[in-house]
Amino acid sequence: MAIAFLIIFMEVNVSTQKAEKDGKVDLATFYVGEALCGMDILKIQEINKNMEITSVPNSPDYVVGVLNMRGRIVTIIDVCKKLGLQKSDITDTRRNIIVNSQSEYIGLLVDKVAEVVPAEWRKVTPPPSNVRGVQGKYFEGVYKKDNALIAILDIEEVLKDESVS
Amino acid sequence: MSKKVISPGQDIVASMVPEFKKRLQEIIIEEGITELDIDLTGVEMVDSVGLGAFIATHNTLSQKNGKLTVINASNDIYSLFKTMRLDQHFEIKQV
Amino acid sequence: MLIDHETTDIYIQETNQSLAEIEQNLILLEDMGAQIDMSLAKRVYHAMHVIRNGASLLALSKMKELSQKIENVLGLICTNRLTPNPEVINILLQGIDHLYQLIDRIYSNDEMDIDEQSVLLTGLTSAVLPDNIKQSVTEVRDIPLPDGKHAFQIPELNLIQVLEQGKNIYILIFDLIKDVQNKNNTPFNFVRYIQQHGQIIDSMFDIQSVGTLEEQEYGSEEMPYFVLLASSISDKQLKKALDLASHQIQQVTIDLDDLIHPTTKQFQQGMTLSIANQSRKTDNKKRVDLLNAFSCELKFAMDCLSNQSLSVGKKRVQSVLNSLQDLLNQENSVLASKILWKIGRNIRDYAYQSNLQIKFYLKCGLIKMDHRILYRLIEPLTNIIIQMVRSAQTNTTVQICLKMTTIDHMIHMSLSFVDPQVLKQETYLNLDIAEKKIQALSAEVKQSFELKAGLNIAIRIPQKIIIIPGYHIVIDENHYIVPKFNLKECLTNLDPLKWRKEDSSIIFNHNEKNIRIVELSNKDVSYFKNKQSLIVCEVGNKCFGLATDSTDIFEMDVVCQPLGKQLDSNPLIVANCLLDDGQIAFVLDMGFLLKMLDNNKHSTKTI
Repeated sequence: MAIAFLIIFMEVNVSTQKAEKDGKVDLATFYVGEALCGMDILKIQEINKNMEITSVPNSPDYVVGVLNMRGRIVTIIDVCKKLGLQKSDITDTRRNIIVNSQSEYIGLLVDKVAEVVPAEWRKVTPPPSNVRGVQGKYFEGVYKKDNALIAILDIEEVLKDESVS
Repeated sequence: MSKKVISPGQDIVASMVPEFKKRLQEIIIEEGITELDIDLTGVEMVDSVGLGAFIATHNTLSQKNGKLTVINASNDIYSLFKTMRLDQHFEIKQV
Repeated sequence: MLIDHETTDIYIQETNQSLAEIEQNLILLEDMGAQIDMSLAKRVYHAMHVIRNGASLLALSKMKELSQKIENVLGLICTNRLTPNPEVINILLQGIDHLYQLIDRIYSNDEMDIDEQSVLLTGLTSAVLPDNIKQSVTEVRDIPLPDGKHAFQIPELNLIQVLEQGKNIYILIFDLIKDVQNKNNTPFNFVRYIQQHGQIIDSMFDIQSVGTLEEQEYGSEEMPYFVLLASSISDKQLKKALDLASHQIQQVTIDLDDLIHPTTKQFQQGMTLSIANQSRKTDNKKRVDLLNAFSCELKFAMDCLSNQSLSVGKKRVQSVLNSLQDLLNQENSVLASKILWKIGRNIRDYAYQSNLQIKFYLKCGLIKMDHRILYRLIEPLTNIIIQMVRSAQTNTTVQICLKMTTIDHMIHMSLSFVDPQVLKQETYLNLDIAEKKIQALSAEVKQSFELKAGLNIAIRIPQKIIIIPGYHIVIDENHYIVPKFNLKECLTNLDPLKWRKEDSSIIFNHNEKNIRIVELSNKDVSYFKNKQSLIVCEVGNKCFGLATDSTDIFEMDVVCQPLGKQLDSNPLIVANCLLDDGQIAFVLDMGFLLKMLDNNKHSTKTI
C-alpha cells in the first residue's frame, strides 16, 4: 500500500503544482462504454464534439482516424476499443477529449462526458489488476464518490502504441 | 491666369532681339503674365537669334506653368517652325 | 515549334519574369497620375519590345500580335500622346494577363479561342485610343542621339520606306548660332539647303540648352539642333556639301531586315541564352558536387551502422538529411516581396472594379520564404484584405498594411488598418475559407480586436516546412498524395474489358502492356471495373498501377505534418497533410506499395 502511494505521489509530481501542494485534484469524468472513468482536468487541452474524423486506412481498430483541429492534424483514439470494452450505442453524446502527450495532441473519443469531481489524491486507491474486465495497467487508481467508482485513467498507458509492425 | 498679346510688327532678327527679349521679360516677370500670344502680323523673317528668343520665352513661361502661342504666322514662318518641330513645344497658328 | 525546347524554356522563364516586372511598373505608372516618370514608361515599353521580338523569333504568332499591340499603346504613352489613366492601365493589365496565359500554353497545342484573342485586341485599341491616333498606331523605333540625353522616335514604317529606297540615314548635329547665324545665314535658307540633299525624317531642338530669357542674359547663346536625314549620298559627300565637321555627322546603321525580322535583337537574345546556359551549367556542377559529398557521408554512415556504431551512424544520417533539407530550402526560398506584391495587383483590380480607393502596403523587409508557400498565400491574404476593406465602410481611401517579421524560426504576418479608427466598433471577420487555406500550410491564423490598435489578423508560419510536390488522388473516399516523381502517367476513360485477374494479381492491359495493379484491399476484378482512372507509378525501375476514383489528378505542393505516434507504424503512409478545403490527405509510401506488389505475386494475403 505504501509503495502504491509512493508511485501515485510520483505521478502527482509530474502533473501540476496545484495537485502537489494540497493533494487535491479535479477529475473530469466521462463514460467509456458503461465504465465511469476520470482524469486530471489539468491534463485536458479541450473537449470538442467535432466528429468529422477522417479514417486512416490500414490502421488498428482503436484508431478512429484523424481530425483537423484548427489546422493541426490530431489522431483520435477510441478509448473503448483500446480498453476492450463494450461500446455504447448512443452516439450523439460522444466527445473528443484532447490531451497533450509527449508534445503531441491526441484525442480520446469517449461516449459521454460527465461532471467534474473534486478529489483528493490521498483518497485514491490503487487499481486492482482487473477493473471491470479491463487490465489494471490502464489505470492510475480508483476514486470512490458517493456510490460511484471513478477509474482514473493512466493516459500514457492508454496511448501506448501496441500495434504489431 | 493673365493673358497678353505682344505684336513686334517687325522682323525678329539679331538687331532687335535684345530689346525684344527685355520687353518679354517685363511682361512675364513684372506683369506676371502667364499666357502670352506673340502676334506675327507684319513679320516676314525670323533669324536664328530670333528663334532663340521664341524658345527662351517658351522655356521661361513653362517654368511658370504658362503657355506661349504664336499667332498670325506667315506661310514661310509657319512652315519653318513646323519643319524645325517647334510646334511640338508651343502652338503656332497661321494667318 | 521551330526552335528547340531549351531556348523556348528560357524564353518562357525570362518572359514570365519580365511580365511580372511590367505588371508592377504599370501599377506604379497608374499611381503617378499626371506626372509620369518617362524613364519608367520607356523601360516598360522596351521590356515589351523584347518580349515581342522573342515571340517573333519563336514564331509564336498570337504572342507576337498581342505584345505588339501592347507595345504600340506603351509607345503612345512614351511620346505623351496617351495618359496612363486607370482605364488604359486596366486594358494593358488585361493584355498582360492574357500574355501569361499564352506563355503557359506554349507547349500545348490547344489554340486559344480566336474570338477571345481578337476581342481583347480590338478592346485594347478601340477602348483606349482616340480616333485620330488609332490609324497611325505603328511600331516606334528609338534612335538615340550621341549626347545620350535625347532620342528620335520614328515610326518604323517611315524607316522601312526610306531604307527600301536604298537611302542612308544620318544624324546631323548643328548649333544654329555657330552654323547659321555666324555664317550670315537664315534658318529658312539653312533648312532649305539641307532639304536639297535629302529628306528630313525628323529634327529636334535641345530646348533646355537654349535656356530661359533670364539665362540667356548671362550665358553665351547656343542653340543645339539635330536633324535625322535620309539621303542617297555618302557621308563624305554630305559633309562637304553641308560644310560639316566630323563630329557633326553620324550615320545610323539600321538593317532593313532588322526592321522586318528583328535579327539584331535576336543576336542579343542569343547572347542572353548562352549566358543563361552557362550559369545553368555552373549551377548544375555545384549541385553534382554537393550530392557527391552527401553520398560519401551516407556511405560512411552506412559503414558505421553496419559496424554497430549506431549513434554515430544515426548522427551522420541525420546531418545529411538536415543538409539536404537546408539545400532544398535555399533553392526554394525567395524574397517574400518578389511574390507577395501580387496581392497589391489583386487589390488594385478589386479597387478598380468596385470603384474604391485602397492603398496596400507590403512591409516584408528581406524575409525569405519558400516560393511555393508564398504563392499559396496570395489568394487567402487577398481574400482577408478584401473582407477588411468591406468591413471598413468609409468613403475615403482605405489603407491596409501587411507587416512581416521573423521570430524564432517562425514568420509572423500581421494585417491591420493603417488607421485603426476605421472600424468604429468591435468587428470580427468570417475568415473560414482563407483560414483553411492558410492552415493547410501548417500555419495559424488569429484575429484580435483592441480599442487602440483596432482589428488585427495575425498569421504564424514556421520557416522550415516540409513540402512534397505531389498529385492528389481519391481512392475509396480516402484522399492520398502521390509524390510527383513517382507518377508516370494518368490513364482515364478506362475500357472495362482491359481488366483481368491472373494468378493472384489484377492486371490492366494498356497499349499491349500489362500493368500490375496494387490493391489496397483485397477486391476482385468487378471492383476495379468501376474505377475512373489508373495512375501508373514508377518506383526505381519498376512500374505498377493504382486504380483511383478521381477523374483527374491535381498537382499540389503539400505541406506535411508528421504522423501522430499512433500512426507512425502504419506502413501505407509516410505523412499527412491538409488540403485547401480542410480535408486531410495522406502521403503514400510508394516503397511499401511496391512491396505489396511483390507480395501479391506470391499470395492472396491482404494487409
